[in-house]
Amino acid sequence: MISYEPELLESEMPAVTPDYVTSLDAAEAVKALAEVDEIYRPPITLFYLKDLYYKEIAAALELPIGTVMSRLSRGKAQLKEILLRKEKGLKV
Amino acid sequence: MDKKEAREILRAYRADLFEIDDPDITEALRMAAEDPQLQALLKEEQAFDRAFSDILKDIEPPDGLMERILSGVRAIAESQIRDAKIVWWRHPGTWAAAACLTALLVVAAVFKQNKSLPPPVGELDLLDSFARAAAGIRPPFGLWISETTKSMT
Repeated sequence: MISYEPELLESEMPAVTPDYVTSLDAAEAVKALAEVDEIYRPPITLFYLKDLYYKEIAAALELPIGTVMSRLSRGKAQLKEILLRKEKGLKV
Repeated sequence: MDKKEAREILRAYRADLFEIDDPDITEALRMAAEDPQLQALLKEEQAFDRAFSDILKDIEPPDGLMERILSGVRAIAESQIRDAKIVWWRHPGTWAAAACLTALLVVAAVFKQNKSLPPPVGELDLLDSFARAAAGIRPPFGLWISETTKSMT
């Protein structure tokens, strides 16, 4: 039986290759971050650029921890999707 | 903690920023140790985070980054509140509900008016025989006899 659970679908998506990620320069990485939806961008930016822990992000953004977790999770998924499209040479 | 929560926590977890006394992280890591799917997810997320943060480690975040992010977050929150206030009366459902309510009130008023006037005597019999004829039911035997004899005379 085929399952359509979003988590399973997500895990079946092709992942961006580690080699591609390491080949990026800082400007490309920042550009990819800037393309993440504005709702997910603040926690993901603080996570990677300011190295903030998720509880510190929740305190800084005055958001519940659960909201930050969920936005981080979705933001990372979106960031990987953006990088994957760039890797495949598609226009984002 | 269920598997979905554990996934979210593991995605938000970075070994280099880990607080040892965080019970949520500890629990999610314990689940990952016992579940191969979560283990694979953790491994992939850690590899990605390490690679991506390595690229950014030499960048000095611009001055005022935090302030800009916070003002952006506030602007989003305010626009969400504003939209929530405006949208309710623009929603087609609101108009549909209002139309249904009006129609219901009209029907109720008409029904109440008709109910106050009893149908003339004989009309009920006529309605009854029409309904029975439509349903293919014969009238009660006595009534059928009287109708039949009436039609014969």
